[in-house]
Amino acid sequence: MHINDGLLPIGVLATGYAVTAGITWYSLRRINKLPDPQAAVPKVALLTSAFFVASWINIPVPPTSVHLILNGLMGVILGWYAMPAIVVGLFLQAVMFQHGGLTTLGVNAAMMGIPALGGYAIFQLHDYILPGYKYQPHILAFLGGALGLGGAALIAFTLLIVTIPAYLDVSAERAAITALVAAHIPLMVIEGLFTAMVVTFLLRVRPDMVDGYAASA
Amino acid sequence: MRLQLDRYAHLDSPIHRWSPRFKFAFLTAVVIAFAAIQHLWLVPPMVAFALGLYALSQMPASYLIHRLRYPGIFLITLIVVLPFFAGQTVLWQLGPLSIKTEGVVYTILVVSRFFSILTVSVVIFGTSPFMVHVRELRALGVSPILTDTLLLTVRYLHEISDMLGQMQQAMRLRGFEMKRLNIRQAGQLAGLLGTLLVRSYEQSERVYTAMRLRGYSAKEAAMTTATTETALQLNDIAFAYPGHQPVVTGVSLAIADGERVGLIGPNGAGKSSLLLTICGVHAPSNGEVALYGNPIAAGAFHPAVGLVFQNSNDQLFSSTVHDDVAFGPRNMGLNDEDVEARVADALAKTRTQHLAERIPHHLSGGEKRMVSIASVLAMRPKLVLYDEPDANLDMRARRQLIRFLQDAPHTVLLASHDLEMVLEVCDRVLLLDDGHIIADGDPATIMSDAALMEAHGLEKPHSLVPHHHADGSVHRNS
Repeated sequence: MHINDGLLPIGVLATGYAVTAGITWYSLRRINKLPDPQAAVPKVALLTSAFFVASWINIPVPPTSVHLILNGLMGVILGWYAMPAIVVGLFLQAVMFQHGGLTTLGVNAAMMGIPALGGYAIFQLHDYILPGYKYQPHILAFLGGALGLGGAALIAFTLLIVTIPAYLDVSAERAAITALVAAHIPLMVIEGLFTAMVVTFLLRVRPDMVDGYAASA
Repeated sequence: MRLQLDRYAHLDSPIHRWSPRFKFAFLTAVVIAFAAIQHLWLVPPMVAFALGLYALSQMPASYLIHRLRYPGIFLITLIVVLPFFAGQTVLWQLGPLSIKTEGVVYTILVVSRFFSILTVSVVIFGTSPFMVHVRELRALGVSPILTDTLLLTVRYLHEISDMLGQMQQAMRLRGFEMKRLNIRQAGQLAGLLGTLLVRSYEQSERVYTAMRLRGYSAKEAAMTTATTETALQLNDIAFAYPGHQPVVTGVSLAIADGERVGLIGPNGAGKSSLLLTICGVHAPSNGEVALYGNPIAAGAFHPAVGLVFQNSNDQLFSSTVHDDVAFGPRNMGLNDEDVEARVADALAKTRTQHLAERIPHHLSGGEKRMVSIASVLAMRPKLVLYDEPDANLDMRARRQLIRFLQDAPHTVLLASHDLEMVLEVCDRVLLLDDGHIIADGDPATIMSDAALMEAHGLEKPHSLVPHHHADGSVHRNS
């Protein structure tokens, strides 16, 4: 999910950059407090590559096909590194494939990154949400994945609605955009299911990859 | 992918000659100005400026068209939808639908802004190698965590994309065909994604080890001054992974300066763990490692000991061969002149000078292996550990490797399943099994002992087995 160049007014683009810069700065501050902040760079880079290529997989949902966004899963696995990873991934997508754009990099990174950190937060709350319940990680992962995509869609469509120039027929646009949001509900379910299944797989195979969960599980 | 981006980076246009910093400043100023354009009369000059800039860059028009391919769906959607739904003033009635003036104006503005910004960014990023832009970002104060992540992501994107392609192919060959999503197939696809993530993660651990061994994030390089003639001294070394049984126990040995020692043993004997303990990646749970009398501290950067990895893709993590070979010397704190001298020397010794500007991912298996060795040699190590360096090499590349090892200017410890290679290269062999040294001595003597070899999951090398000629005479290899 990317907003391309040319569509949003310059104030929104600047705000997007400011928000992304703020969150990235805070994430890097958290990372720099770790004993060796650069130690995780290869992990983040290779997983960014993996998320990047995973988002190319076509999933047939007749009559169309969808791509996974996996930003909730990025939050669950990468924690505070999710924001730098998303900035890097979106920058490469903009430069290499013209997905998104350079002016919208800030907006897109905030749109993907805030829900990703939301996914991370949900997983960090495992001591409080359904503690001890057998299917707790599956439910948390489902929520992380679904809300990751839902949050990104909500931010994207809100931005598109509020930035429509006043002289246009706002009601028709609004109807179209509401329909688009509604169309994302099944996608949220798909994204949540995949995130839950991948997290289940990881907890079985490499539990240490799921940030914050394995240590206390 | 990176190649595509750098395809026209070496042309010689006026824009190619701009400094990277000026390009960034220019790009920022122009895209801000373009994004702010709200009036229709400014559209023609904006588009003309962008196209003029593109023409000045001397890149072919087909490249720009190719770049527009991906966001094409966005443009088409805008052009089809916006004129109908945006605005009130009817410009043209088409049955129940009407094209609105405001919608048309808005569409022209959005599409032309999009096209112009994209064109200028294609010009800026297409006229310098991607590496140059990343270096400039770092010079401008962007966090090394971001720039290092960016470089490594670019380096491994292609490889992980290939990995996914191979896994998908393997699934298809076993009947996986996804026409319509169902829960069983969704589970299989999630397994594919999970495996992709796990394999990427595990590769990242090996890449990190390779980077650390060449000084990544090290504060300083440990000095090794030769105080003994013994290159390597191990005293009662043991190593165990946390929560597991020891994989190396009671290993004591001394290797003299200039010796070429083979390390043989079945899979799981502890060969790789022993090598990783010697070079300081693993902290021994017991005993001491000393290099020319200097103790090896686990986790510190010891340029005097190098490790050549089994898989070159883990070891070659930079964007070009040159940068990979320069990685270790740079982390040793050498000046640019010394770094370049060492890179040239290491590439010459491994006969890979012609590969300096190549992307590691695109090299052949044999080339990757020799470049991996060059990246270690550039640190001028006294002892080099080779972990199955012949893995996945064809006959010609293997022969080149053997010739190199026979003349290697350093002490060699060579772990391999290729016993013929060990016979050709080494003047001493260690047989390791179950974490212990079982035998230590002359390679031909130890490997001729068929009972000993078979007892430890090995086989007497073919060249040591007497051959009968057709005339009944017996031929023995010396």
